Amino acid sequence: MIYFVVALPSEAKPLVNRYQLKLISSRTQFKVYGARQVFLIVSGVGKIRVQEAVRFLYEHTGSIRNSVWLNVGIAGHSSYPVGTAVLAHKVADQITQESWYPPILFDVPCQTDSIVTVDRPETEYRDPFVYDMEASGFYKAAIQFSTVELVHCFKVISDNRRSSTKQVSKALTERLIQNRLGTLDSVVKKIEKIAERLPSIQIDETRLKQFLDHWHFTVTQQHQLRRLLARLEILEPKSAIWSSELGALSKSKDVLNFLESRINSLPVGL
Amino acid sequence: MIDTVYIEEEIWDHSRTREVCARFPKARFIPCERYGEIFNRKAQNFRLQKNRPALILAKKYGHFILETPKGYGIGGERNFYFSHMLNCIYDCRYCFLQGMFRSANYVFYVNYEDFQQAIEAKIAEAPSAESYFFSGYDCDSLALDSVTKFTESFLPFFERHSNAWLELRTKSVQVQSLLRRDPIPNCVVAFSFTPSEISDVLEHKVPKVSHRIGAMEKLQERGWRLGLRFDPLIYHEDYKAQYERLFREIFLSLKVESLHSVSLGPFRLPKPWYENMYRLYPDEKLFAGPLGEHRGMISYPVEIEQEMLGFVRERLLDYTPQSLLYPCIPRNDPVVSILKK
Ligand code: SF4
Repeated sequence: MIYFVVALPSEAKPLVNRYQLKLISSRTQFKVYGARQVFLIVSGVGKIRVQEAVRFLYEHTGSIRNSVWLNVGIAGHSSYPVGTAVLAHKVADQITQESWYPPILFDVPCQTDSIVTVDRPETEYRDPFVYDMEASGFYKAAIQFSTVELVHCFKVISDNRRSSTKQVSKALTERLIQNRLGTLDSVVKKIEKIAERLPSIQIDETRLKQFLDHWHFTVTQQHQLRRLLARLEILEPKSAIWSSELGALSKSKDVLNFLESRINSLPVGL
Repeated sequence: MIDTVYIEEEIWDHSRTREVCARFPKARFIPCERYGEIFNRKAQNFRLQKNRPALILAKKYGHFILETPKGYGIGGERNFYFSHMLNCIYDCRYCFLQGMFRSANYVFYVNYEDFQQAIEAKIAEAPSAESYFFSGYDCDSLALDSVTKFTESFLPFFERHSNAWLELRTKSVQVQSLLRRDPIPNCVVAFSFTPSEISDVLEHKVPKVSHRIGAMEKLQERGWRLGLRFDPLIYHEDYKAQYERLFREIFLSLKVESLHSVSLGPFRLPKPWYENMYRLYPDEKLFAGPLGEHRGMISYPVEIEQEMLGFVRERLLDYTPQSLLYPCIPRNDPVVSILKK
């Protein structure tokens, strides 16, 4: 799953078109777009709004953990030319002084820099950082739902000392994001590749159901059962577990012991 | 190899920081306040990070030298360990570091002098006794030596303290820094092994067994005291034939006189670390196999553990005297008796 979080409709538009997203909820507090495995939410400006939006999106799209999360938007910098794409290697909150360090585990097709999230638009550009108003709120919220390697902030420079925030119109914002879609796409693909490497415990749900239908397992025992079945699947893929001996057991505890003994009796390979 | 270097602001200008950074001119250098904000954060995935670890340059505060658990040692009574680095460039599937740490990034503490002061303080507590200092607990002692210059700094230091022993523990063949200089009598260069067949499957990115033996041979010729470490012992159907072959291969190249010590230890993990490792690699046969909880640790069943330790000990005694053999097991553990028969 890929989640895009943007502050403004004009930041959303190029993404909605690029990923052919459809509006799936507009009557709620946030506009959400989606198609297949991609969702986008328009949070509004500021870190509180973005935190709420991240939670909303997560909860209203099946609460799928360890997805790819990207905050996309415009930002300011003292000297970077307007249109420069930047991926955050550090996200700092100017007010709370908290910092996060998104691990970049891929070759980046653009430059990386520190993003400082401010509560009011930064017009002085005092330090050589990228300034925005959402990244820290986004990052703090999104890492509640995903592993940090998959959570990133991608910004396009919209203003600098020579081109002030006053010149940033809806049309310009849209154009800036539109012009950097290729770079963004490449970042997304690379993060998706990393996400593919996430381990997942595979168990045969039909087989599991067979056990759960036959015996009563407590929650802890269900956890143990899942683990034992997963281990058996690794050691003896696709083998038949069910036997008259197993079926004759009356207690769930004996079933777990039976599976454990089976694991211990298998020849140990590597 | 390394494209991100995090640097604690406090040591930004440290001479060792500058030397290390100069080795990675293309890396991005990112300042941080304390390395824990990166290394200890929740919601990190060790397995994902292992594909491209970053380097974190940090300053260590306190707890420089720690006592080893009772029963772990290679002949001395006073045993300590210290870690100038956390994590390792290799990727052994059985390695406890992946269960112990949240991050696979390498932490390198640049303040060697503070470690050395702490070592001197430990030595001074019992000046007439021999103290052993193990350096490869949370990392491989030599694998990144060309970057950290660990031996360049610590060998001369131990040379000045003849009643203290330094153990370098490694699977690396990066021994040039040792070959370039004269050996010191109070340093043991200890190499860890599992049989080739196991190494090929479980010790990712680790130099081949034959290359490690080759590195040991070179050190032997140069006069370094060597150690052999068979810890952890990995069980599977053919382990007997494979360990026999491994010992034959090793002792064809190494003279017993070059050996300071040979140690062996079972595969055991604290349960929380095992759980973390299982979550990272649920598809790994090693973790799916016959491991269970015994005395709060995850290990092979007692019978397997005893059989392995007994067998490996017997075979090692074909080549080395009992006096060189040390178990890496808590002193009060029942299996210790098997190793001391
Ligand atoms: S060489 Fe040692 S420290 Fe490195 S991964 Fe292997 S077991 Fe762990």
